[in-house]
Amino acid sequence: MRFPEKTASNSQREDVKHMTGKEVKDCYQCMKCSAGCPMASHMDRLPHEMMQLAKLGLLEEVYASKSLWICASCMACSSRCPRDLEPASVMESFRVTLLRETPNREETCDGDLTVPRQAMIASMRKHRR
Amino acid sequence: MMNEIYEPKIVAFCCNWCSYAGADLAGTGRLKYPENIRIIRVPCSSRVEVAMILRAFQNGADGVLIAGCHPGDCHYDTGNYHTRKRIHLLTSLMDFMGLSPERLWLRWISGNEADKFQATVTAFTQELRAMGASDKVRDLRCSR
Amino acid sequence: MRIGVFVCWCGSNIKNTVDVDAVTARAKTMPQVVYAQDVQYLCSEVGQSEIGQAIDTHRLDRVVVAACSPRMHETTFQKLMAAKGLNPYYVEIANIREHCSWVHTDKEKATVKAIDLVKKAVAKTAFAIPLTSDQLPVTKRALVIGGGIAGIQAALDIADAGYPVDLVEKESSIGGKMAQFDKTFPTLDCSACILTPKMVEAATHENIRLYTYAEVAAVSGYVGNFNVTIKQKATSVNPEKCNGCGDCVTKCPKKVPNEFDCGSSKRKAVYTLFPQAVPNKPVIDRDNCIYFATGKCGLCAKVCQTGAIEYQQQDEMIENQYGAIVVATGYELKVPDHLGEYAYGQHPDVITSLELERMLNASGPTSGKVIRPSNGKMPRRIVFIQCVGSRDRHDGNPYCSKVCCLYTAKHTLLLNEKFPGTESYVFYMDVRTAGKNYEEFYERARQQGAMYLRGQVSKVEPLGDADNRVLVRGFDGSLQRQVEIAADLVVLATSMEAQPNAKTLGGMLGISTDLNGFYTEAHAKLRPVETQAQGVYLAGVCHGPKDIPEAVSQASGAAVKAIILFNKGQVKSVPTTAMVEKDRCSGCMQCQPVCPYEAISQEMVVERVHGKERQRAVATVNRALCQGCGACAGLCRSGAMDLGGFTSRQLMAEVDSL
Repeated sequence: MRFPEKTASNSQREDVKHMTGKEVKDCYQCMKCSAGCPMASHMDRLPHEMMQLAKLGLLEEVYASKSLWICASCMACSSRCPRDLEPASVMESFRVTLLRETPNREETCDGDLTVPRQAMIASMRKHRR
Repeated sequence: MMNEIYEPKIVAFCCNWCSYAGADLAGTGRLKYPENIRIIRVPCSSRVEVAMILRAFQNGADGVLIAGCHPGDCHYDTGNYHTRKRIHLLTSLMDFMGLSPERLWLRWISGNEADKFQATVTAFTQELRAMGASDKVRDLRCSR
Repeated sequence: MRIGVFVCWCGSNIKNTVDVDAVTARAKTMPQVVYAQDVQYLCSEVGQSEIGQAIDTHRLDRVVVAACSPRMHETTFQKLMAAKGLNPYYVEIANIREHCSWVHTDKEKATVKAIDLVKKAVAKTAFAIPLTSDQLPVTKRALVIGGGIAGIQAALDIADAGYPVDLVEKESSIGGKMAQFDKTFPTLDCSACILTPKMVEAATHENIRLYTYAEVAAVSGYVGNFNVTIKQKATSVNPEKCNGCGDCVTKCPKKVPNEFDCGSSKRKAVYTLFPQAVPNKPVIDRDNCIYFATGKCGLCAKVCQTGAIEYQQQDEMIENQYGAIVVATGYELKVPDHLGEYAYGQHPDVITSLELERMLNASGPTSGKVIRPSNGKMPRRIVFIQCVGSRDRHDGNPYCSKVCCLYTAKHTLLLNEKFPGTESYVFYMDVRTAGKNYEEFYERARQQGAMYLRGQVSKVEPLGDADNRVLVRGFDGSLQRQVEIAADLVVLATSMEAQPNAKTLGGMLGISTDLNGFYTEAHAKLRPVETQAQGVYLAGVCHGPKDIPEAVSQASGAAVKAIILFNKGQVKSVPTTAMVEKDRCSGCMQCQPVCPYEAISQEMVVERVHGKERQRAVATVNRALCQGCGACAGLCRSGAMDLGGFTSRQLMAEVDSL
């Protein structure tokens, strides 16, 4: 992979920081997030890779990844991150960005459920179950 | 009579800074080894004269162990290099004389290698047990 | 001769495995033994007084102690002997704890062994000879070799304690490598701002004498009494007359690459090392001076208003006496051109960290601007490669250079602060930040935007674009793929190496170098500033890679060691030294080369043979230098050389007793 001449602009980086309140540059790639991720085996890019890509400013690759939609937001990574970076929140921020940019986008769960995954997660978070 | 285990007599020369300390550490760590060994403390393995080794054999020692610091670690910088040369030469001399050079061991045992000291003594004792009494060397006694 | 044997129980430590009563009873029957007793704890005060009483009542003159290892309590018993008016070397210890009771379980066999060990000790002590140590005077003047930060610190500390110090520096100014740096991690203090006051302090201190542009040529003697020859190279400038105006430097027509800027700028043939040099007097580099090559030119002498230029100056040999020597000779940086894959020396935009450091320095060749050497433009994308020639057994040095992780973090920070918009990528294997506030500093560097990629670079090659950029091919372990970065500048964190002449100097001082050429300390954990040679101490990177605070603390440690020596005023020699029986010595001098301390020399003795006087060479031992290894005694063909405390007769008696 050749690095693009232009990586993420400062304003793009600021957006991520603004949404999550976290600085992805702080990630030192201990890979604890990937180590404990229950969905890791279904992901094309593991959580630590997502963090690294964000850190390097390779946002195109982040947005192209399926992992954003596999993440169940179980928060295991967030609770364990030694840098307090909450990778789950970072993932969430990317999802939100994407959804905002493409309003009609609808990612659904596999199988019969037709409810958008995000709606499900939002509901769970709201009602704490 | 033949089935009885032969208990060899081992004389060891241990340098004060590494091997003697290693033997001390084996004691501190309560590592067990056969009782056959008697350790003579010398400042450096290079202090050991060839005459002393031969005298030990004459007096009926079945094995002699010279133990010093690892090459490069000598407390006195270079002593063990001299030892290495000297023992190498003595080994060929023993071979030439028809004595068993396997009865003379030179080993590098550092101050923290208690387990190596234990293993060395145990292995040496076992080999000497298998070899039996060192009659050939004893026949070279000057007197008695 | 009246030998007393004392058998220690060591509580249950010995008593449980060894039948101490049997040992004591058996000891009584051994030759020359007049008294034997068992005691619960010999090392205790009670035990000591029991020995003392027995010495008095039974008029004992030798003592055998069967107890723990002599490495444990030998000095305790030696002190007791001395207190009783007996020679400390008349006590012998049979190690029946570490070498017997603790390692065996069969009580019967252990007892037999313990008796053997006592017998051995009795046999040895029967041939013991009294030994004493000599008190040697100490010259209260220290020599510090190397005028870098470590040397300066050591010199200042010794001088502040009130002792005179000579500081020898091979360059024309003190300051060393630290003078080349721009900022220091983790505080980003300006290097010159914290170094120059120390340099000036050293130069003006009443107790410090500077020898710049000088080298140590020869060392002889021993602790407290070193004799050192210093070679003062001819500077061709009379320091008394020179007022440091710099006219000679301006007028000098000859330009040569400036080593201080890693060759990225030019200096004159008459030059001061850097603007804040101490002493601030120029020297003439005779190898490059036109006058010294052709006998013509002489411009500098013409412009010098004070007539300070002296072409006729000669190298001078100065001989001085010192009591202690601090070695602070520092390091060199490995030129990374041996690693072809990084294209150093092939592409102008591949530089070393020190070259970048010089560029960042406001008084450096670019006045603090960072440029691409190929076109003078500012770089936008900079790739740092770590561990260049370090941790590389194949084609470099096997050790970690220790400071590169932090100075690279520093460089990324400085670049980010001074030139926002630059991108820094760091290819690394591990980031090692062991040091106070170092992890925080590294964190700061990352937060400021340095992008760390775990994985090494396999190739740096020209990209072939209009900008003449380079393509760095590496691997990112996090993304698990090969990555390529088109970079404007590549910075190599090159390895620290021992000075090329470290071994020669070490040989003169009697200290050894390790496999990597760094000086070996006396003990890796507990004597990190001392060396095998007494009175020679280490400070700074000559001992192994270190950062500035570590070098400075070691320097202070070395200084204190020298001060302790001076405060004592005398040194005690080792009592167990080698000794020559001159009548027996054949003068073959085989003992001389095996002595690691150069304590053996030849001397002439006069003998009368058949009524005629005859001179004969024999070996003689300098007791002050001898450390008592016995290599000479082990080798002596005529049995003339012996070692106090471990004489041939004593050791033979031990062998015979078994």
